[in-house]
Amino acid sequence: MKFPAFSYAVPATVAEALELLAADEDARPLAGGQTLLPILALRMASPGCLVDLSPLSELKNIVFEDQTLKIGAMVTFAQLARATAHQANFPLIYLALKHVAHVAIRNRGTIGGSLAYADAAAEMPVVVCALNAIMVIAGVGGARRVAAADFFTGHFSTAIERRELLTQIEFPISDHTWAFEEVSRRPGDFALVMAATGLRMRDGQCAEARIALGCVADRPLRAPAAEAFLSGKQITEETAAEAGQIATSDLKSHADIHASAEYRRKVGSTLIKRALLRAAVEPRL
Amino acid sequence: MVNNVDKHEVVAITKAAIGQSIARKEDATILTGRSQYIADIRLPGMLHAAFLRAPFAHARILNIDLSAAKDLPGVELIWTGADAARYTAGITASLQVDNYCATTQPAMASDEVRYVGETIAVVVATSRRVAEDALELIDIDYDELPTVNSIAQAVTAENLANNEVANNVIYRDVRSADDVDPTFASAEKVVSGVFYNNRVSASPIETRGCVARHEWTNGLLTLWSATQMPGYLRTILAMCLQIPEHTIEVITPQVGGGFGQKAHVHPEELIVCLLARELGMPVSWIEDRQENLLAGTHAKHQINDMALAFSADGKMLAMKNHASTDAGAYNCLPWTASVEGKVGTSAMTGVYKIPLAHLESVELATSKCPIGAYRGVGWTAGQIARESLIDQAARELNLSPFAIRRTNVIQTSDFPYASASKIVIREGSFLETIDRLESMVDYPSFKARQTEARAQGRYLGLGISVFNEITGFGTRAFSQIGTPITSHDTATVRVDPTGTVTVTTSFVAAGQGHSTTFAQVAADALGVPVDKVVVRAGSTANTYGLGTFASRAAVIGTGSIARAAEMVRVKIRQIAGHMLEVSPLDIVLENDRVHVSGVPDRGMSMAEVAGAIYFAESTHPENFDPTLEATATYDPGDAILANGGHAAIVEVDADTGIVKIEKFFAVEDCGQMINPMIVEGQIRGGIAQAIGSSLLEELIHDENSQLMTTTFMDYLLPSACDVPEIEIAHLCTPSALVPGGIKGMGESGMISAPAAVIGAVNDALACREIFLTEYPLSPQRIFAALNSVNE
Repeated sequence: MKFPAFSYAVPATVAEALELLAADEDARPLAGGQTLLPILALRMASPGCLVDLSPLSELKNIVFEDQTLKIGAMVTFAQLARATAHQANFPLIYLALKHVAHVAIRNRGTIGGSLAYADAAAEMPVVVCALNAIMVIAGVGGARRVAAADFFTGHFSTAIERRELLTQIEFPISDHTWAFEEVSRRPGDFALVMAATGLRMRDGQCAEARIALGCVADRPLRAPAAEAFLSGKQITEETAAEAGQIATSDLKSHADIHASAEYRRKVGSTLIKRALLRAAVEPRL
Repeated sequence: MVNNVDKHEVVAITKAAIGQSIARKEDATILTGRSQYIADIRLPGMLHAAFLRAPFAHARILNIDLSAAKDLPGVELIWTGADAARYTAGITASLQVDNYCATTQPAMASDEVRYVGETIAVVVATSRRVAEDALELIDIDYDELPTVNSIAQAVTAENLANNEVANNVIYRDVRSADDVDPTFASAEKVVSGVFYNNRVSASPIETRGCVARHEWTNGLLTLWSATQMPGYLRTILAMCLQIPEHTIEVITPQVGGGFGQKAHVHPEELIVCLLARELGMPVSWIEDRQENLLAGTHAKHQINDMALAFSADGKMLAMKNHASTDAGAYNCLPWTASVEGKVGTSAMTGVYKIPLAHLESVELATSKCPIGAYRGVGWTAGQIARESLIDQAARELNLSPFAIRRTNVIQTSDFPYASASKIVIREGSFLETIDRLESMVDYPSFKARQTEARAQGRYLGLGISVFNEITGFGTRAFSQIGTPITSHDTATVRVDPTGTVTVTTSFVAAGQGHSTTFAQVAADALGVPVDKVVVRAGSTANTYGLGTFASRAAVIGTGSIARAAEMVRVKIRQIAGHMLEVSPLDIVLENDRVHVSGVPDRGMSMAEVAGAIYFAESTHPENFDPTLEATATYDPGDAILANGGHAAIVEVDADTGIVKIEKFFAVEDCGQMINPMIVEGQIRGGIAQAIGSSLLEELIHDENSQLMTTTFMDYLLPSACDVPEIEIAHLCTPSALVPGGIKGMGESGMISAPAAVIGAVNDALACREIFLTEYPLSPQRIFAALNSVNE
């Protein structure tokens, strides 16, 4: 479990990092290293060069402007958790953060690293989908903006092209109330299933619902049919359960050693129900 | 005066430090990161080894191409199995009983591999990184062979896991052969189940590892190894490597957890010694986690097919059990595959009066890593089966789980009780344990909460497990469980010239706190303060012994120290009597003084007496042999039985299958406690492992015996978040069989607490007519059971 040999580059700017990535087909960006380094130690990957993004302070800002929370890709989970000023406007981020690994990993792991790695069992991909976040991807020719819905293209696979870097995640403010539910084998583990729900209620009825499911497919899923179903309805045990059913009825999930496809489908439905009931009683801002 | 001829006898000690929760002497070093583990050893010129391990569970090795690997800069030596075979035949392991099938595991496989992770080649290089680079350049052609993937497949003997093992049967044992069929036929209540225990790894945080140095000038071989058995390892190295034993020193620095996994001789230890001799340079091998999960011995993989017959009022009438062990491809040394099923069967009837029993076990060879010792060894699986069935019977007979156990438990008036699983039980506080557990749990209030929760659609459950445990394993105890081993552990006690005490012991510690507990016993034995005693262990340059396992150290470690101390005490009383002009029999040692009994002023300090012995011949009586040092062994005259019980309250989320343990209760009776704080640490640690093995941990193999769980992301150990509040109560029934009354207790948590967790989940789900018998109780298994009932 020792790393294979690789060269190591420390860029001073994002532009320099992009040049380094462009210059070497075998180069890989290194963010917090909480996934990449174990993979190297297990010798499941052997990149020729690691481009260490940790000195890039321009990627470590958390800014709220234009009704948007802009989080730099190199912001660690711990840094984000400490930025409690944004908790009231973006509760879902903070609800989900509680499920992200353990202190030691949160101290080094970054939001951008997690999103770029796109593990279907990670929390942040679900969060960006639920909040309709925009992913800012930089390349040598400039930056492009990709909606969360289009960002994930499969398990461990995203819209980020080789020679590009995810630099920032932009979360538009929402006035939904939010809830996040997760089942994992142990606290802090990757999820077996997770659900994020947001509700905008008007006169006791649902004006808009957002439902996102994680770890039931190769990427986070929104549930448009279930969201539509809830429109104009009260949130009750029955409607919440039905929304869960609708969201999962056609789900073709995957099995692994920890959970069957059937487990993921049914528990996914349960978690949607629970999250909706919880979001329904969350106080409005 | 003590009879120093009888290894079973120890003179009584006046207790002062014994029984006190004094702070652990070792903690400052451990907690500040100053302990030296194997991986901290740096020797000049030290090289690093990495093993190439079999990628298939059963295959013939057709060709090995080392050329590219040998060319890699930094590679000093590469050996294959054939190279090792020039110096050693490997590890032969057997049990000294009739019809036991011995196996010989080559130090490295040369023709055939028999489990994933078996070693094939070893690279020695200037760094572990370079050695791992070289492993990737070794090219091997294999011819895959059929694998034996399960107990069921082993039984058919369609394929053989190891051609040394005919029909895949390593050993078949009938421990009790009572004719139970008529009783079962006429019994008013019969409960039965087939219990599939999971294969687990002891997973010490420090993996295995060793460093060897061979000095060609004088032929001395030094092996630093993270082992629980340095003395035994030295002897086996001498035998397996044909190296004279007196030229070998095995040194064990701090061990970072052993739990039985390090109470074996591992093939890698042989290889590393040979490499150091071959190269004339020190060689280090530090196992990584993947290697440890693949090849560091597995444990507890049994199927128990059990039935219990009861009368209508809940009296146990008979037990039937057939234990099958998925033993892997070889016997481990020294325990062999019998450490699971055969050993487990010895405790099958536990603390209960079961008049008749038919108890069989079979150890089966499979295409997996050898099964080995892990805290609680073979007892855990049987305890789960028996306690689960007792609960099931209680439910069906409408009895409380406490009442049914009280009805059947062996009582003090029954001692000595010869159990149907052939253990003579002479001590224990079983009834008091059950009573205490019931009051700790507050059973009526639990029942009320359970009923209330049910009305809200929530599932609360209570599980209890009552056990006894043979501890302080000496010759007699080994003999009772049917594994003939002679106990031979020693301690040396010396009073130094300035009156301090130096103890050396063969019992190395892996976190148990021997530096403290042994010092407490030595201090009381010689009447000095604990801080005037130092305990040295961890080198075969000290006294010889079998090792630290089987809850032995508290009994045998302290017994041998007490016996050696008594020999020294005789000397001190002899000279003090002479100096004070009284009979030696009137001299007492207490409060760091040696004085006339009843007259504390008429005496002197221990330092003065010691000084006189070492430095003042004029004070000596005639014909006085001025040594203040003695070595003694201790071997308990019988099986020392500790006992206790566990209770767990859980809530099962029926929608997700997640189990939350609300609270844990433990009752422990280990007789006279040396240090209650350390006893409680053992209890808590054992319960944490029990929660892991019953809810989380599982070594999962695919249909070709390929291990799927090779990192801690998939092999799930419990973390602090998974361990609830644990309430502990002590009963204290000093053993009449051991001077001092001390019993061992290190394994109790892993023997009994898993059954409490499992019992609690089954109790929670009993209202849904679910009785889970496949472990661990993962959310997936609980979910599947609930959903198959629903549909």
